[in-house]
Amino acid sequence: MRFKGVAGSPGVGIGFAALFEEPNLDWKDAEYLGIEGEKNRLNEAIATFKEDVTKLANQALEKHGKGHSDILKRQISLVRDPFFLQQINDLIDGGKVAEAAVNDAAEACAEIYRSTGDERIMERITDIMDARTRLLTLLLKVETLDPESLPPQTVLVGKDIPASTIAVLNLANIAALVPESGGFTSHGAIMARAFGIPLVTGLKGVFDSVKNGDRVIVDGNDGEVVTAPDEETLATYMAKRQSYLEDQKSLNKFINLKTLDADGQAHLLFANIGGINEAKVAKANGAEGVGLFRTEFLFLDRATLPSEEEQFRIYSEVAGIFAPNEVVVRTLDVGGDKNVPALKLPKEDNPFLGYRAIRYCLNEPEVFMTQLRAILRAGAKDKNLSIMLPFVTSVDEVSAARKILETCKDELKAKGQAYDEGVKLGIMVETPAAVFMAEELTQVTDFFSIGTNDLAQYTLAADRGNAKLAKLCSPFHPAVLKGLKKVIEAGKKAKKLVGLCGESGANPQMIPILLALGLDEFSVSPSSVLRVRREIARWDMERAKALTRDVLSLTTTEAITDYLKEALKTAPRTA
Amino acid sequence: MLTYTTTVANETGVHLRPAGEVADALLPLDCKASIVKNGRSYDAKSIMMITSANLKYGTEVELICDGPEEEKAMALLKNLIESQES
Repeated sequence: MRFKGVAGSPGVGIGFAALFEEPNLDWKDAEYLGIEGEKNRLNEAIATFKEDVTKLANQALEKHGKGHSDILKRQISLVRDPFFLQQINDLIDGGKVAEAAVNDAAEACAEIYRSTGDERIMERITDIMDARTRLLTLLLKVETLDPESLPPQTVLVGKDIPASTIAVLNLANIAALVPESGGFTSHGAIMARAFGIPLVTGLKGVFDSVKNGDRVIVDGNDGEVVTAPDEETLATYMAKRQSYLEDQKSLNKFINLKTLDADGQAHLLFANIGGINEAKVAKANGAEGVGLFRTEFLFLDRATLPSEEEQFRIYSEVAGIFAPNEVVVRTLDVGGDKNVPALKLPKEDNPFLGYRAIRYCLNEPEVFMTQLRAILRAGAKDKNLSIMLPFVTSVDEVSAARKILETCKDELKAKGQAYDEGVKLGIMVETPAAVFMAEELTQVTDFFSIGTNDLAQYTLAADRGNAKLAKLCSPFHPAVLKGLKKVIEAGKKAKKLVGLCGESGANPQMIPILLALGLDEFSVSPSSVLRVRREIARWDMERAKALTRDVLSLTTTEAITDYLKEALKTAPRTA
Repeated sequence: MLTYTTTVANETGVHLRPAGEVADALLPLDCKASIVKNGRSYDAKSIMMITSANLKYGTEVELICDGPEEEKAMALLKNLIESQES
């Protein structure tokens, strides 16, 4: 069977299905077997827990290094802890089933950590909760798929596959990912692109039609999933995968090269990342810096907010990976559709136009300042971190943020902590208001970065996740192109750097336009870096400018994309 | 039984990581090990109990170890409370 979805991450993956489901840890049907019965079940679960986690910790030490293995060892310490065990036993004596006892005892331990008020201790609540989940899974005998020990050539299929699961996968064994819900810009797709794993999403029926071990083909270039393929289909896709891999390989010669156009003019080619692993992939793929570090990924899928220390460590590590080159850290871009349970934000009728991003941060300065202090401190060593504000619509938002930033510096100075005094403060240009106000905004910011996904969505008043509007919501709409031109020109006039961190920066049809308009910095997903470098090398300024003049004279998206398709087909390619 | 009275030497209090390591090391020892603060006794084999004791800089504590391996245990505990490493 053939399923059509959204091409979330390129490449062709051929392998065997593993079905992913969130385990159901409800114990309301568990029957109380008496004190001895419950304690026997408990002890059995704890013994298995120790065995499993010890094994995982040893594997993790080899595969991911000490940090990951230490987390697992702390879980073992918890299930041996006399206080934790005493609590569970007391609760069972009091008539609770083992599941409820484990749950309540874990809560009691979490409360001890919480009541210290010490950020570094509170972070460890995650360990307690993870251990609780694993113990409940064992007690309830829920079949779970262990994301860390999947066999080679696994195609992971789920109705939803949370980012926290993708983060712990042994990627060497993953042929492709198929989360049925999601879109091109969903977290899972972004991670898959960063790691170069094919992903197709936004489709229905795959999960219900395959069994574990069934052969599945995932075409992340064309957004197709094929289940139970016949020999001929399989051969076709094997060939397709081969040619994709060969093309990938031919890109390797661009890894250590500068990003030069055909005139020999250098351009900045950065990467968009969401964490340390993606930073490493980006660096390995020859990214010259980071144009967008999406920090909200540190805040998702967790019960408590990341502390200043935790953020400091992560920002420092990323800064170290790219030093002396620049890393642009975007401050918390949450609210509305990006749900962060720890922030307890209310549901909104119109999340894309709602209480989010900079609007939230200016209203909740505590969360914002924690992040700013972490960035300031992490930039102390190499002075290569910059701060970028998302979703700006007015000059006073930037002024307010700058004032808060200065307060953070004063606090750090008073405490005698090292920080980067000269940190740059820039903004995302992703709303029509920011485009109209571009010239005024150059007066209060150090740089711009254009977010084309959102800029298209807001300029065209078209939901970027709505498949029926996909044609309308195009970065090639003349209104969006005019916006790009205006922003880049405003930046040039004020001698402020203008970057672009939307997906269209990697689009071969958009690249000549951006070059001609004078974009300073391209920031694309780590797996696109080399492709973009090759594409930029194909354009000299004269040709790019001639093409862009023609494009800007056209009045419809269709006319523009048709023109570009033809122009790229016939134009002589330099490289 | 060994007892010893001392104060927390680290300016930033007893840290979670070394406390966890000491609790882990004490666990298999054949003796009891506890930290008494303000008349309340906390099991030093439990990281949860040590954490809940909230051991800040300058806090006075009594260390009590009792059993065949009490000397080993006392050495570990003293080191935890009197260490100045942060």
